[in-house]
Amino acid sequence: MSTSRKEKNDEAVAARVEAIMADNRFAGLRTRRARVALAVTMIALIAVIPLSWVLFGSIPGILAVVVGIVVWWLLRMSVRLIADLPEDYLDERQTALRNSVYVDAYRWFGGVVVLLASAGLLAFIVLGEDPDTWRVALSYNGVMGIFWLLEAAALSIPSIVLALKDRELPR
Amino acid sequence: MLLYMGRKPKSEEPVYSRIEAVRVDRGITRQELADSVEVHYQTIGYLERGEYSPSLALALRIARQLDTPIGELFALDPFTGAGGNDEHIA
Repeated sequence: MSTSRKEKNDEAVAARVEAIMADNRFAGLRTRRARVALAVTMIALIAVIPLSWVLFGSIPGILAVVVGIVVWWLLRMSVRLIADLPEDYLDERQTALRNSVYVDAYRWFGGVVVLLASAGLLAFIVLGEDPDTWRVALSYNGVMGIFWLLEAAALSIPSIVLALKDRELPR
Repeated sequence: MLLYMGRKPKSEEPVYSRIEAVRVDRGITRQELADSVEVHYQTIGYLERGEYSPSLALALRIARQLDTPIGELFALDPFTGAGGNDEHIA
């Protein structure tokens, strides 16, 4: 990317961030109750999205992903993108908050991954008739379920933690 | 009694502020103060409610902007007169 193009891009990002930081269109999403509701809904969707793929197939799976994207977007607006923005766009309180949030988010995401890996290993040991030759067969919907579970968790957990942690913010 | 490895938890280190009283006295809005010290206006709200402890640099910028000695804006003990927040900074 050339310098001028990069500068234009940086200016556009800065203008967008400025608008989001100052806007009050989503004030209703920034109440304590709304933030907790959005965070809880997103946590539920992290489970619902892969289950929709695995249990009901592609169409319900895609619909669940679309709902997940909408809720994720609303969640990010409710916390003014603080979990996602570079440090240059945050003041010192927001930076400190974001750093604290990422410590917790890493632990949550690590917990999810460790839980899944342990469950998979346990299932492999318990269900496998002969561990040396047993192969795991995955369907297309199964792969999509695993992919969207990890995708949804990785992308949304920082904003979920922020919404729960920073729920005292004034409107 | 719990030991904290030689360091007190932050909740036991209260810092009191009089930003709101001084700001209102100067006729400055929260947004104007935020813009002049380059923070988000909600951060000023956090400072005024005693829910956030500023860095030394930010405290000095606020003191300069409000034309008030820093010792009259922030203190480790509650302000005796009116205008200080009752909440300590966590």
